Amino acid sequence: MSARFLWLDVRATLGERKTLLAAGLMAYAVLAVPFLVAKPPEHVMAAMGTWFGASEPFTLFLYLWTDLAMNKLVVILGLVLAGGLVTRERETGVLAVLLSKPMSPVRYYLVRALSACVVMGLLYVAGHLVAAPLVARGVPGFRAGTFFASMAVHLFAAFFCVCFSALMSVLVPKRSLAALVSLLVLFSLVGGSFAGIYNPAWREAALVNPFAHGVTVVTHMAELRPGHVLGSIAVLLGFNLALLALGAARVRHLEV
Amino acid sequence: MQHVIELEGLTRVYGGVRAVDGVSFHVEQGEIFGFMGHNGAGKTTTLRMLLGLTRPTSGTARVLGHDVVRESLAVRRECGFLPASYALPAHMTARQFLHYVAAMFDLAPEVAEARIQALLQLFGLEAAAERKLGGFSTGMAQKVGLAQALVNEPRVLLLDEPTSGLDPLGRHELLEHLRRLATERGVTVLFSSHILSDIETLCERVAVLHRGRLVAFGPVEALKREHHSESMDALYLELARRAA
Repeated sequence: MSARFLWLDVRATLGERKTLLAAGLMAYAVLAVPFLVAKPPEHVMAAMGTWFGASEPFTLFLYLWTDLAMNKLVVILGLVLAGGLVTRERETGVLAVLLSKPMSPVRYYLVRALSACVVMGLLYVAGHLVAAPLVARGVPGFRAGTFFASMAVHLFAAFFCVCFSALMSVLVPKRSLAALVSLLVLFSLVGGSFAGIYNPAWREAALVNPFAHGVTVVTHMAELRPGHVLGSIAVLLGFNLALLALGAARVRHLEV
Repeated sequence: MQHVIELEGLTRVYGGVRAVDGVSFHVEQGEIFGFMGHNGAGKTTTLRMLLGLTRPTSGTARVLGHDVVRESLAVRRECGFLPASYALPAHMTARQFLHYVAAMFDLAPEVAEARIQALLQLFGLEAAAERKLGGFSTGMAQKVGLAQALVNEPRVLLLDEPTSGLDPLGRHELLEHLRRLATERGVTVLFSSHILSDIETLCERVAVLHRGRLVAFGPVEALKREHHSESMDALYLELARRAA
């Protein structure tokens, strides 16, 4: 793995317009969510109490932040950052230039996917670092430790979106179709991320959904333990490595 | 003596179409070798097979003694390649892009910077080095394209229609650069083109493809004599007529 190539790719991606768009989306979430949780209706707080065993403002905030903002945002950011990983270069013809260098298609794909993950991570962590002090002022009972623990786990769900979009970009021949498939699958999974909470009978089955692991801090807030955080990170890491391996296998014999 | 580039019965079939059909020729050290043929004759497929970007259906090819299928990374380490049509990444500056390419060769940053600076000077791109490639003219983009092909100081250059889209001055400059690379640095150039005047200006030996098949190979002057042709145009038309 070429560390310098990875670094240069991250820098180049940070300079792209699509990354500015992604940063803008993150900034919107950071600014909008505190307004949404400012005056919650009674019935919403009651639902929080039923679902999570706690009806404090911080519970509502973390639920909305994770499900309403971050879950949707990471799907779009993943697609923006990795949706055209190889297909865009193929369409512009520059892939022939890049793959004429002594770097195998597998190594190229993995470095580019990793680079997209790094950019996702930078945007995600920066968004949370900016959001934390804003939310701490506006949400009574704000718990920084829980907030950042939730961020740490959900970040791997964000990486899942990058890895999945990257896989679709090499699995589906047309870029627009690949984007559509990514959106459909990822939003379907996001829609089911709290299924085990809404209906406890589905709790076990819901664990096949990576996003159910991504929201584990929210669903275990009442009795959160390090095992919840580390276990979910490990599961998500496994999902992500599997997606990267599938993508690498797909480009192994890539012809230009 | 080992040839720098050596093709033996190289074939590529797409579906039922033989894009390249049993092509055999060789290229010697330090020569600028012309690779002629009409659009769709199989030149691009052949060049891509030489870099291992496309796998041959049958036949073999070696570049600097390396098998292009089994040792494609070793081939690419020694080669520079400029494809026929491509768009450089619009969001990168010329210098960024050249560093990006240099990193794919695992060049140390200081070595890469020295080479890139020299290439920017060589192609008169210093003033535009920090500009985004999206704003480059065709001629400037082609110079960056050639610079990226030279960043590893290759022993072999594979150029696919490098003068297409260039104005007469840009074409003249590029041909001069290639001549200097061959004479001063001993770089072997496989120059693919359907612009016959460029081939005539640069190359002493040529291979001519027609519908994937090699229809002529040898010194330009000998081929002209053999086919009673006074010019490259006449030679090419005669070869195409016979092959049809």
